[in-house]
Amino acid sequence: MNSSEKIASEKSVVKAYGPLWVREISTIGTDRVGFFSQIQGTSVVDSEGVVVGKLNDLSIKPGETLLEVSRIVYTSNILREKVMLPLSNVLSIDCGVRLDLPRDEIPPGKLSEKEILITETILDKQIVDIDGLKVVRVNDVLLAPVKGALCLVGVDVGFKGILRRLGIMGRSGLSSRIMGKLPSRIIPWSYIDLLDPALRKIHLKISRKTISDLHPADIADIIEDLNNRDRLMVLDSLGDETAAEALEEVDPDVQATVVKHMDADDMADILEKMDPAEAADLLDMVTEEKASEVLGLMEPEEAEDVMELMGYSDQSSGSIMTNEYIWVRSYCKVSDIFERLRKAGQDVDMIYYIYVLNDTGQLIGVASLRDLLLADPSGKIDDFMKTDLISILPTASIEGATNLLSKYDFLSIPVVDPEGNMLGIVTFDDALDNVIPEDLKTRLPWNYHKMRRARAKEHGV
Amino acid sequence: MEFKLNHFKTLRKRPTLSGILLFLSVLGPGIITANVDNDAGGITTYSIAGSHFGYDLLWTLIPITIALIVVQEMSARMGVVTGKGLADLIRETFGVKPTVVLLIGLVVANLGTTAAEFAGIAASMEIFGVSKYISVPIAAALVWFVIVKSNYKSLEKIFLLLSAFYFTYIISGTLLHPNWGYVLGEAVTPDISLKRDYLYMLIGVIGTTITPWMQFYLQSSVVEKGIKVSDYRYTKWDVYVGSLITDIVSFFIIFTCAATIYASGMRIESAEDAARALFPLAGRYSAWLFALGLLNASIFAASVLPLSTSYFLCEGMGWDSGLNKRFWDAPQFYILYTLLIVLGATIILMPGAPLLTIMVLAQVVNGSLLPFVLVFMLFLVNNRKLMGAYVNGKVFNIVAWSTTAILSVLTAILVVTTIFPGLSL
Repeated sequence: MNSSEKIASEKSVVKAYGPLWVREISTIGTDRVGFFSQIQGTSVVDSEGVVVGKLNDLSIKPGETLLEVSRIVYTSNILREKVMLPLSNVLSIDCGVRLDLPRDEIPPGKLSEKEILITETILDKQIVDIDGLKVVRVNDVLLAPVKGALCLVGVDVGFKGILRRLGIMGRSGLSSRIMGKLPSRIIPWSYIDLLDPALRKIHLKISRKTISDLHPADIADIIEDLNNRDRLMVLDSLGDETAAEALEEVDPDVQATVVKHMDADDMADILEKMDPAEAADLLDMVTEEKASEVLGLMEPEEAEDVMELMGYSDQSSGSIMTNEYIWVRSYCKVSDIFERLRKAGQDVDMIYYIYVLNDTGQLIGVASLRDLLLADPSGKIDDFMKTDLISILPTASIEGATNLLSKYDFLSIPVVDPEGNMLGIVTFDDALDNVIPEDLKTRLPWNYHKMRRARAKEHGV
Repeated sequence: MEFKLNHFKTLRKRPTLSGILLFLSVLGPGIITANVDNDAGGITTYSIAGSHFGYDLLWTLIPITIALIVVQEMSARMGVVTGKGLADLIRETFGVKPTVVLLIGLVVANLGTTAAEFAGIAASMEIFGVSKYISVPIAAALVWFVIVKSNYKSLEKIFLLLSAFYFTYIISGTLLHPNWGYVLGEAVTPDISLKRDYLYMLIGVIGTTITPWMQFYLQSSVVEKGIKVSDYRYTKWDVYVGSLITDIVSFFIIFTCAATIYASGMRIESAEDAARALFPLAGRYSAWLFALGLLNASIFAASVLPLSTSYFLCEGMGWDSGLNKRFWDAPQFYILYTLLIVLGATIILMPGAPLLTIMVLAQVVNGSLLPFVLVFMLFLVNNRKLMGAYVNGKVFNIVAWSTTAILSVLTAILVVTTIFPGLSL
């Protein structure tokens, strides 16, 4: 096959990738793409037409926006050893690699440990597909010339990639016609987050999408798919706030494995950013020794909140209650309460109810944000707060709490001790989380992913 | 065995409560793997070995135990150090081609083994007078639904508990009041024979004790448990204990069958014949006891095998897998899982199905796969980029490579003599 034919066939391949990929290609400004599997193992020919070896691997370095191929690695025909050669000595790699210098002038370049090789770091490894929110395995690597450099523009994670690697994917005949019908699964480089620690460190000038750009609930789905080591690595790379939010959304079984292996230091950092109720649940999953070590490393205030919530039995309302809520005294003015809401609202989720406590900490009234908005700004909360209170004990069952929330259409319900002292609140979404059967939770609307992608495209993400 | 002694010392140095608790918390993968290993094929092979050869094969259990420990320890160590499954490591280190070939081999071998488990179900239910055309479809449907619709981890505990059935062999053996000195003497004296039947049986015993599938399964379980490198010494003991349990059970099955069936000069032709080994314990109920034990072992393995095989294939190929996924999110996983069960059961249900041929063929595929898996494992476990300081030591490597070499030669003999039965050695 000569090179013009090759380009033509690649063009038809490009068409098959679907709209997303064509768009990517046009922004890159090239349509001459090729798969690594198609050039691996082809002959390396010197300027005089002598075959010197077989192409084995490509070495990469970070370019401007993509990973650039910097060197080729081939197995020499004579000594059977691996030789490295800069890409500048390569004329073309369309059908076989053609070099621009004769065999005798090839500089001695042995493979060093520091090189980032495609086969060692990308091919066959697991990556995170940010677009599809999945952990997948790289079956093939897509290469294309970009601004004079050869770059990694995407990865193939589909079955076609495996067939191509196995050499089953012929370019003509029946097999290729059947294979052509199989869907391609190509992910552009910009939608990939790497799990390999060596590659995570590669920074490109224009940032790619990474896991941390996702919604915490989506990150949680990905974390569940990973093995424990990668889970810790991903959480580590997220920043404490996002890590805390994501970890909250993770399935409890996975949470248990994760926290069991997390350093006490890291765990303390993440727990500080977490809802105290969730933090208490996580601490219940580790040994007592570790829990006290973690609590010791946390900010004393945060640690205290968490400790209050620990030790409530699994099935009781106390185990899902949070002590982050807004409370005021009965003599507070409405305008002052708004001031307070603005400040505390940064950390507290439930700002829709304002609880009124007396000097000894007993709950004496409650007002909603709506009541507050409709009230006279100079008035006192005492004037309009509701005093016939519905509350529960921390030992009440979660189902009981959920029933009350549903019956009275509350967003949260206060938890008090037998003396009427306010302990915390149980919010509707925490209660719901605990009563929905586990298998129901994983069920998303059937077109959820489609809608999500369509939305993302609309916003040009 | 140098590595064994070392760890005996560390444990002795600090027999603290926290040490014991740590051991209990990492306990499991080795012992569970060991119990799945004693499946329908295992019980059958050991029963025949004892009934037809008496005490002659008893001695092989000591070298087999050593080999089992060496191989399983490597799997567990790789799991702990790399945090990845065996299929994962093979794919990432050796690429697509070897992975695909190896995994196809594993799927075929495990399809055969799954069929053998259904044969075990059929045989045990026939003792209760239930036709295989009723028992096998029900068992297949039950296995599929129960595993897909319920929590596998809690089922595993029930199966493990029911594995206490193996103690019946130990009790039955003790009730025979054997001359222990003589039995133990037999166990340490090699009776080497070059007769074809004997060699065939020997390879069968090895083949059913050390399987390729176990290495994948053990490593995945260790990874899933998320055991830390610093706690590895406890996992090591889990592996030792598990391997020992497997072989103590094998020992008692062989010995009891030898003392009862072989001694009376009979041969095993059916499951009912094999049940006679439990006569000293259960008398006329021995057939029922045997049937229940065989049924539990078969269902346990029939649940674990197709499920884990589907996991390994998807892990290596990069497909979504897991029972928490819906069908359309992990189609390959569910299709393979279902196919393994349906095909496994169908093979048994074919009228006039050559059950024995199928079981032997499964063993041959397993046997021919084992050396390759072992060689891959040895390359991986000695790869410093993966294992760091946890590569094999020199002595260990000698033991491991010679184990691999011996197993390779023996399985090569098995494969060749199965394909060309006319050959004589």
